[in-house]
Amino acid sequence: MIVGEQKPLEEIMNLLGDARRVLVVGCGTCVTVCFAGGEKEAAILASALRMKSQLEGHPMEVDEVTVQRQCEWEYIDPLADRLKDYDAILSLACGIGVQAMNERFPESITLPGLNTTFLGLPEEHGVWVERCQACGDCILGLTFGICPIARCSKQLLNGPCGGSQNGVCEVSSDVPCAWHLIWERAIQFGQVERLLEVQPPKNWSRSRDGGPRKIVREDLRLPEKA
Amino acid sequence: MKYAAEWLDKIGLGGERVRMVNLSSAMAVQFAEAVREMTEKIRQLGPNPLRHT
Amino acid sequence: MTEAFEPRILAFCCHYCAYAAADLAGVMRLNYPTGIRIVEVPCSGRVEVSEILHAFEHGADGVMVAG
Repeated sequence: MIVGEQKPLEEIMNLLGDARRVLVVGCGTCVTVCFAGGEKEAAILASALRMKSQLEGHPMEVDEVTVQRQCEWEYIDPLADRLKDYDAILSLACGIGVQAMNERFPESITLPGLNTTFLGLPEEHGVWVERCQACGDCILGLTFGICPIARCSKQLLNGPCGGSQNGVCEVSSDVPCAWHLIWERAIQFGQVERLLEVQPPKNWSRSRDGGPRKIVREDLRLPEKA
Repeated sequence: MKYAAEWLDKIGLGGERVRMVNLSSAMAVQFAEAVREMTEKIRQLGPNPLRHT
Repeated sequence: MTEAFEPRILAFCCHYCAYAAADLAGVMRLNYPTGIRIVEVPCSGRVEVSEILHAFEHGADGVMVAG
C-alpha cells in the first residue's frame, strides 16, 4: 500500500493561510489502513482545525467528507457541486489523490494534508516499512523475494557492501541488511550458486530516470467518440 | 488516550484535560473519587478556553 | 465571570463496569461533584478520539473515559 503520515498541524494551518471555509477530504483506501487520512483522521483533523483556529482568533468553518478512492475520477466526481462553497480543499490522500483533485477540479485549490512516504506494509501494528520503489523492472525473482532496490541502502545488485555487520546495515541498527536476508534465503533453498551470476548495471530508464511513466493498454481503451 | 491527549496539546487545550480510568462495576467509591480528582484538576486548569472565544 | 467555576466534565462510561459503578455510587448515596455528565457506551473501546474532541469543541472542560 501507499504509506503516508499527516503533516504537523502548524504546517497545515500555514498552508491554509487565510482560508475561512475549508473542506477536508479523506480517502478510504491506502491512507485509511495506515491511519493517516481516512474517515476517522478526517473527522479528528477537521475538529482540531476548528478549535485551533478559534483559539487563535480567526475561526474557520471546516467540514469533512471521505471518498472511497481519491485517485479515480468516478469517486471524486460527486464532490464537484460542493467544492465551490469552500476557500480551500485539504486532501488527506496521497500525492496522487491531491493531484487528481487539482486536475479534476481546476477551479479549486486542493492542498496536501499528508506527506506521502513510501510503498510498504505494516510490519506489526503501528510500524510500517518500505518494500517497493516502483523501479519498473522487478528483480525479486533473482533475489529470492527480497528487494535490494527498496531495502538495501545502496541499492546494490551483487551482494552486500562492507558495511553489513552481523546482518545489520551500517546506516542504522534498525535496518536489516537486505543482502544478508537474500543470502539466508538462498541457503534455505539450496541455491546460493544462483547469486554467483554477476548482474549487469540496472536499466534505470524504466524507473524515474526515463521521466514520468505511463502505461497504455489498447485492449482496455474505450473507442474514441465519433 | 495518549493520541487524544497529543491532539489536545497540539490544538492548545492541554492534554491533561482528558483522562482514562479503569473501574469494575463494584468500584463505586473509586468512581466518586475519580470524579472528584478530575474535577479538582480541571478546576486548577480553568475553563475550556473555547467557551469564551 | 460572576459565579465560581464549576468544571463541566463529560464521562464516557462502559455499560458493564464504570456505568454500573456510577449506578452503585448512587445507590450507596456517595457524594461526588455535580459537574459530571455521563454518556453510557457499550464499551470504553467504542469511544473515538473524534468524539472526545467533539466534547471539547462543544464546551466540555474535561473528558473522562471510564471502563
